[in-house]
Amino acid sequence: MPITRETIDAVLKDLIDQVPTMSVRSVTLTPSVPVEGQNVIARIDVSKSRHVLCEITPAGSLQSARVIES
Amino acid sequence: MLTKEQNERLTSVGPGTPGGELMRRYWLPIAPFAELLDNPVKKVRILGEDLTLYKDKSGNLGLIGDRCLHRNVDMKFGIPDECGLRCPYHGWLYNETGNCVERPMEGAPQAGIKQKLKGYPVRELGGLVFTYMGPLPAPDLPRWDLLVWPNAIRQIGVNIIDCNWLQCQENTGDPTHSAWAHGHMFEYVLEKKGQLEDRSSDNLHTLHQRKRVGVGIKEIYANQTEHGFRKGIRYSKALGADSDKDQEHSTVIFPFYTQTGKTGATRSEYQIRVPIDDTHTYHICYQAYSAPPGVEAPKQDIVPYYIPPTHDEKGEPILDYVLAQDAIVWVAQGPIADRTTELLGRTDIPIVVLRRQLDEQIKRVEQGLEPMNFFWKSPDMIHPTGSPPDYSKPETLIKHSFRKYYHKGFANDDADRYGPLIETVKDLHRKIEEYEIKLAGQAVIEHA
Repeated sequence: MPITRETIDAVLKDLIDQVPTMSVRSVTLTPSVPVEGQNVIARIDVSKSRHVLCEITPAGSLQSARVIES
Repeated sequence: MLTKEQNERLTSVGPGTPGGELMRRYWLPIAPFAELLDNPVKKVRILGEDLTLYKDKSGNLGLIGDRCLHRNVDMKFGIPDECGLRCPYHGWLYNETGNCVERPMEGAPQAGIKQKLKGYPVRELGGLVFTYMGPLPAPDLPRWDLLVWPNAIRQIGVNIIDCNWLQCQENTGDPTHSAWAHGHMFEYVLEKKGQLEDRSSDNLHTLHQRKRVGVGIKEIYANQTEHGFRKGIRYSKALGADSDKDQEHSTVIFPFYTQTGKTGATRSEYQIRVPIDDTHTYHICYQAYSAPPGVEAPKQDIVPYYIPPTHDEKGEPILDYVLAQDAIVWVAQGPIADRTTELLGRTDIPIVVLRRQLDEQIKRVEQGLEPMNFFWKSPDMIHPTGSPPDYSKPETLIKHSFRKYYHKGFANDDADRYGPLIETVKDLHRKIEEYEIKLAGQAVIEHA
């Protein structure tokens, strides 16, 4: 079974709730529909010039996080 | 920010707490072995439990409950016997399992008593004494590489820090704190003492390096690894950095180690944050100074230890070296940082990953699974930063290169300056520099 959207949302909420100085503008997932056995990359746009990339494993673990200035 | 419940879950270490159960799946360093040569009996408090560590006359190590079953005398006054520790009051003798094996003056034959003291397994490795306080059988003691790396000398700095262990460990998950704590604050302190010119004239000085940490940040990252996580900063010249570069910071080894400097480098260190209880941390600076092939490190029978002072004789904090700068900001967050009121920003993303990893491993233990870095059989040497160093590629060891030059004054910025080995280390660094100059000369001749 691929990771569920609910699990992804819970991981992202956990991160976002801890960093209230960043307000979320949009979230996009790659792949847009989770595939079994594959990690999901969530891109959280927090401003015009800043976004966070979160890599989430099929088990719902936050494998990595990067905050990037574009 | 976290909820009150989340904060308690991550910070509590007593028996039966989620975090405490996780900690009880690991071998915990509790003392330098050399300390037991000075005094073979030591009172220790670890994970909220009061215990007595001893070395008996046969050289066996034991860690048992701190009060004699008979009349509750503190066993820190115990007398080491051939096999075990005797209470000084009436001579009751305990072995390393905590069983009372002799009660003098109680007459013979003596019936066994069902009561016993706690007794936890103890082992020594690399000059540190470790204990395991979890369910038996105990896992193998991990052979992290700095503990067993050849051709190196070592010293151990120990402190008790008056705050929860997670504050110390989160410092490791925070790659940007050094810009201020070890940069601007360092400068401020030296300025106040009138020592700025003397201590920081070289552009490689810690404070100059660290002030640049905060300039030109393009990206801050944290990646979980097999043994913990790595984190760092990518810089952009376009944003004001000296150049486009990737600066990896110290490596987190789960649950409470961090490594600075590459294994095999002329100076590398584990900082180990062992919870004494919820509001105190036993902090260990395990410092290793390795020599490359071609230079021989001095032989060492015993790894010496020291206590780097964090306050002067007037009780004022000493703030002119890195560990003390860290310690003051850890303690200044309070006995247990109130994470319900914090306000994290972009630089704290790695801390979020660290907390998430900790929570995930707590969950594994709750589910009856083995957590990260739990080994039934440890490899002969575990390299938490990845593959072992390749001395044929010296550039792999260049990181933190200013610490190659303790003989040129850089030791003044680190806790190492208080260590009993510091003059030996300076001699070693001098020899390594001479060797490198000789090698460079040979390379020029061969090239010509």
